[in-house]
Amino acid sequence: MRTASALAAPARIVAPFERIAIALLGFALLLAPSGAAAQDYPGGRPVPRTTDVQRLLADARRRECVERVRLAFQAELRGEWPRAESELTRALALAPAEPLASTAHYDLGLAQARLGRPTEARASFALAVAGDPDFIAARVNLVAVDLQRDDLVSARRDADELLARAPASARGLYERGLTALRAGDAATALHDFGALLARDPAYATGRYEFALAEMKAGRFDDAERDLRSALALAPAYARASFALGAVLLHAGKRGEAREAFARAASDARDPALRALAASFEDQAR
Amino acid sequence: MSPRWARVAAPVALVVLILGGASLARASLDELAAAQTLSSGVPDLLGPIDAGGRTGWDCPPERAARSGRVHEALLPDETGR
Repeated sequence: MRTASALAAPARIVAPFERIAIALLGFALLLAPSGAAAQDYPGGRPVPRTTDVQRLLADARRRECVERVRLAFQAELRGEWPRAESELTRALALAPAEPLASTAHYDLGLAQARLGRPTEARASFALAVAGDPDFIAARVNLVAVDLQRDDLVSARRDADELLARAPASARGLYERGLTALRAGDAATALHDFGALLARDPAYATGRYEFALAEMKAGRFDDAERDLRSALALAPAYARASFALGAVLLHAGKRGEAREAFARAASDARDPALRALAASFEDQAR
Repeated sequence: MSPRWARVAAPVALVVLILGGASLARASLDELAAAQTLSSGVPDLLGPIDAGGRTGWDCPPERAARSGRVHEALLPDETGR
């Protein structure tokens, strides 16, 4: 009996503490949901609970498609373009839904362009844009491939559509400006490169393109000023030195033109430009 | 035309031809130089996109394509050419 009462006594002492601890724990649990809200978990995908054969097949196709696009993406990052093309062709044969279909067409276009097949690349980027008209990266690459193919009519149309969807796109302005410059449309080139320079006056490549547009428009004095600005930003810019030589020749400043050609010949990394600049340096004497 | 006029006209025509030729050569040199100025190359293609990469358009190629800033748009730098 003595033993039993000795054991019961501590139990009576502990019980109030236990009650307090349980009350505190309950209080903490009540507060827990608001504290955990800072950590946001993505909603889990429901586990398919069906025995319907068609639905199970569709789920399996979707999973295979995602996995093939993922494998192709990793292959492209490693520069394994044939592997990427193979995976993407098989993924697209499974007729995926959007946005996976346009992503697969985009990645396929990239692989085809890298494999030296710009016409097929153009078709793939066009399919990506058809699948999702707001897919601006696909529109940008579509214009780039048009330019690579020297298809200036398509490039202009695709660049206009790109800028209609994304008017602020610097990439769109650059690509349309380049298209216009190559097509001899000085007014559009001046507008687009001018808009780029308004955002970043220190972009030397843009200033060079702007100067070329000024030359096409017959504004040789403005072109000279902008080429000198481009050279102030990038003193070893051989193409800008060569263009400056051409502008100075036009102005009858043969001595200065010769200096500009000499500078271009000295700075050029491209052997063709170096030889051309040296030849003009001789002829300007 | 008398032989005397012919003797005067021939050197004058020769001088006119030489001066005209020199002027044409100079003009063609200007035009040749202007014709040889090349626009920059086509910008490189934007990179690949993963299967889940376009969720909420949060992917680097799409951001570069939409950006209004020159350095974010991955525009070419041809100043070394």
